[in-house]
Amino acid sequence: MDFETTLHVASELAGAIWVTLALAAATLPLGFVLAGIATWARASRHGFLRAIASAYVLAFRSTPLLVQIFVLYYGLSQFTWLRQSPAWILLREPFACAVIAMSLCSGAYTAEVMRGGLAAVPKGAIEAARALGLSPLKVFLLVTAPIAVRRALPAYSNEIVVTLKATSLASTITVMELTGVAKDLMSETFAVIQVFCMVAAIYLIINSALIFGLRLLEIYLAPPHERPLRRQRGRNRKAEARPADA
Amino acid sequence: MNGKWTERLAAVALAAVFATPVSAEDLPEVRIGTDGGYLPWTSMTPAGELTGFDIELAKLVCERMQRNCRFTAQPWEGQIPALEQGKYDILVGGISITPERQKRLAFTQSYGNLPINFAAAKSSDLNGKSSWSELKKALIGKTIGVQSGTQSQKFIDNELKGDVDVRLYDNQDSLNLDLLAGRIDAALAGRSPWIALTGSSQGETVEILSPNLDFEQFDYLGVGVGGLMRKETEELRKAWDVALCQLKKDGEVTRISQQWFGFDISTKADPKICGE
Repeated sequence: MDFETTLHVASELAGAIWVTLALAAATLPLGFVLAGIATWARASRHGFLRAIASAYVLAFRSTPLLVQIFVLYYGLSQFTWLRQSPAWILLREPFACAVIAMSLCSGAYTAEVMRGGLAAVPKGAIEAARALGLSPLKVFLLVTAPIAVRRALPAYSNEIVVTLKATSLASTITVMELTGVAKDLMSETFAVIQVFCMVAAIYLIINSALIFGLRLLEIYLAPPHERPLRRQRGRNRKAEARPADA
Repeated sequence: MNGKWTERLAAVALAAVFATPVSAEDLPEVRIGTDGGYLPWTSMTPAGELTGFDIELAKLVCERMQRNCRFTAQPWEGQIPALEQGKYDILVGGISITPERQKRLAFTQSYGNLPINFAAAKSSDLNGKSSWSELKKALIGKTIGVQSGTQSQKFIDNELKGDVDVRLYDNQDSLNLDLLAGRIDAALAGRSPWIALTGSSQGETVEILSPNLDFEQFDYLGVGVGGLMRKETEELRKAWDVALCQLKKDGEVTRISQQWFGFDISTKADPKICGE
């Protein structure tokens, strides 16, 4: 690949990074909200709500995302009544379809992450808070949520990375994100290895930054006694150094 | 009586020997690779037999060359590597002659050329344009779908880039679905998939837009389809070309084209190969 082609490929890919990031940025909050609703419904007193939420999580965790995207995009467009309904304004757009399908899928996985986080909250802590006379909302905000978030964050950061990579499937429904642009560039330049190595490098850089940021957040949120040992080791070294100085 | 019987047997045996073309006995059979899933060029009957425009034409070529031929179906993606490894002697099945392919491999002369056409809903305002410039004006600002990596995509890149919103599809079926659903205003592809679509029951709301776009007006669209071979099998290529010259002159290419496409896609005999 000569210099001019490399530049052309690089600039095309750079433009597509924003589409990939926009997909992930739209999907993750929506998925989080869906997961919150599903988690709330699964803990509900009403068996009906619990059943619906469990069915949702089961269905979207057990089917491939690609199939979900195809059903939503190509499947639903088969129905004339749907094409004449107001929902078509949204479902007509490939980008919206990709975001809806990925949010539904991400929501199901995130609901499981939330369930794991909540299950890790010690019963004793909640009972103690109740015994102190805190309202249910305060118990949730001050005790349950902080502990659950800390426990769930490593699993949720995994979900964020997976979602970013899953955006590559949006190219199958004509959303030209990184992988879609790469496929197009490949048939244009025939430089298969170079183009896809560049794409892989871009994903790697984005995800490394995300993983690093989330790791910092984990450390920030951890209570002092659970923080990684590095700082303490530093302190110990100082403590050891002092007597030698003296 | 006895003598006559042996004479007769000898005569029959001799006749049998001379009836079989000598060359077919001498030369190894020609191994032909084809996709088998690309109507009307090459396809497979439910019984598992290959059929289609290219298959019938190749059979006629083999007849004229007096060679035995064996057809093998293999998906298009793997065909060029298999040809380069020597698994096949020639590939047929609507293969466009392109400069990129000509760098590494050799083509027979072109034997067919399909124009590319836009297709749109019958209710759209794109119908009934008589020239490309008229249609182009009507297309500006519209959303247009095209299969990636095709001549049609090249056409849009050359003629309409920046003026229209382009959507790229992996295959013709997805393109058809979105055209029928109305997500795209128009779609561009070779004429044959549109004939298949507009002829089907779901496709009756769609029509093929005039004018036909072909290499006479847009030379980068290429000279059509040909048989693809390795560069070193020069002799087979010459024999194949000579047979194609005869078949074109006899009107055989036109005849099977009418049968499979409903119109004539045959290209004129190449004067450099066939002579005047």
